[in-house]
Amino acid sequence: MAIRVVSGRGHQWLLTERIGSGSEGIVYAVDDPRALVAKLVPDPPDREAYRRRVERLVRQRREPRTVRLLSGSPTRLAWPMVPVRTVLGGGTDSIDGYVMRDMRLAYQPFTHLVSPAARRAFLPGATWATALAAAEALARLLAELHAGGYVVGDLKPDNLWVDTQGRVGLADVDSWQFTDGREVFPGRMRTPGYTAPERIGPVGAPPDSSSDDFVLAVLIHQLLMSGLHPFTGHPADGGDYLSLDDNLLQGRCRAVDRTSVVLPRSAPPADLLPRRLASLFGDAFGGTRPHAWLWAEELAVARAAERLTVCAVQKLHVYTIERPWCPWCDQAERGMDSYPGADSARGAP
Amino acid sequence: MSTYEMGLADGCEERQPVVILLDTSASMGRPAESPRIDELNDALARWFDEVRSLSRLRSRVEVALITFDSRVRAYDARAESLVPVEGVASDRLFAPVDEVRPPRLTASGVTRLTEAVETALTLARERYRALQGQRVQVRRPFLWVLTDGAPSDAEGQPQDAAALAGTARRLRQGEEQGECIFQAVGVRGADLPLLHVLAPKSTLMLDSYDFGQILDLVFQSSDQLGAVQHADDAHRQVAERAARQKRMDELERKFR
Repeated sequence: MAIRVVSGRGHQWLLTERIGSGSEGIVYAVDDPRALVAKLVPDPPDREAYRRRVERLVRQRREPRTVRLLSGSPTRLAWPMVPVRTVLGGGTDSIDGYVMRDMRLAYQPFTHLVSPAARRAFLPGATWATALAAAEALARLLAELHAGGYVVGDLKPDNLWVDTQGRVGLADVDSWQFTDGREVFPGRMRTPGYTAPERIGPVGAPPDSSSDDFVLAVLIHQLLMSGLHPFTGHPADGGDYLSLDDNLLQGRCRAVDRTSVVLPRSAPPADLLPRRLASLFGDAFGGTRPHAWLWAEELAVARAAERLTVCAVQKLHVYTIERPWCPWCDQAERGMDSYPGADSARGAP
Repeated sequence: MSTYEMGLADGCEERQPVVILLDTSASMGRPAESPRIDELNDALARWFDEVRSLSRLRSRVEVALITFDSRVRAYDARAESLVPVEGVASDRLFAPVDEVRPPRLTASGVTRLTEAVETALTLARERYRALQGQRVQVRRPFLWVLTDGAPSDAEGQPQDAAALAGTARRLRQGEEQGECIFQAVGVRGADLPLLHVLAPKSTLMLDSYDFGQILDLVFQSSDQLGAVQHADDAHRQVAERAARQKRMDELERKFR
């Protein structure tokens, strides 16, 4: 397999292997000395609109708001660099897409930090401090892109990247909602478990910075709670479990009402959070969503060295000084060690 | 305590039961020079080997394999053998996806498709109720049937649409009551009109796919089941995913 794509200026690239496929597009490795990948979107709902969308994003790379977002190393965003289309087929049959930076060079998939099993395998040195760092980096990135007038819309683990230091990257920029001053390019993708309540259902509301802020809180909860989704749990009223979104719509959430759900005994303890962050989660899932910048500020406070302590028994157990003893040891005693370390058999899958 | 009692991986993830019904009738032994059943066996072995690197599926999906030819049997993953379904607790027939070492299947006999589907429905319902009872966050079981032929009765006579009506009705009921999602996949030679009777909105003809791609589609779409309240939405999602996949496969072939 070697698909060839061409840019508007006639530059050709050879796409080699398929490295991922998402809800709309498929990502290929690119044969190029720079670390690049290409995303092809076979069937956008409106081909012309999709082309314009990619062209505008590429043009906006030069605008000050975007230049700021793209500054720093490693680059936090897999911004579209060049629009391309497939060479064969031609005309209406060719497939559109774009070339972007290969995030795999600097980052790992976000789930490697979130899911306990993947963390053991890929980021065995990560601690709760890494999770706090990633949460702050994510909140800061989202606050900055909101300030730039961008809305992510489909914020979810599959679009996110993380490194060993807790730095965070974001891909799938072509699904964002933005405007070029004349035309609004709407965000319309939604992912179960990562959708604000007003966007769930057959006629969901369009995304805005507030719906992003809701999903940000979901992701921060997962980071700080060793992967636990905030709407995890079997309905306490004895009814059937249907889905995370159903729990969300019915207000079943441990962070808001501890009696609303039944969780496995081995779940991370609810009281492992600093009080201030616990209260922000209550707000986020209870109705008044904190802005991304507020999360960033509070997370910066919570992760300051003097606010953290290391467990005397297990050096990968890092927790807030507000808690008198180690929450991760508590969890380990109930059958699941979220941060077991490479040399420990506890918590092995 | 085994992982069966503990739940998959970390216990706080959702659980997605997937039942795969595999046609092992005589037609799967064709063509003689490269029998489809060999291709299926290779794909199963490879797929279940590679799934260990897919952390999301590993932590969520549990599988029951059912084969049907003149008999309907289920795979006991712990005993590593195909067993008659009767008399085996349904819980025992589901295993975490990364603990399944699939059997080497052989092809013979007729195609007891409807009997297999009825068996799968019962199995899925029992498992779903058991996990709800244990307060596991279980999603609706996904049922997939893969066939290259046409359903036959116990004597090997082809069944007509009327003979399938009862099973089709029970499938509809199961879907409407939120107990399962049913998808039919036809490969070379499958009797598409009859599959449509069983699964009017969820029959896919995937004869350009190899079995590995079909298994990818099965598990990726079973895992992406959203908060959709209606089975039709799930069927539409699966069809869209299959169409997109097909388009990209064709594109990649053109460039080969």
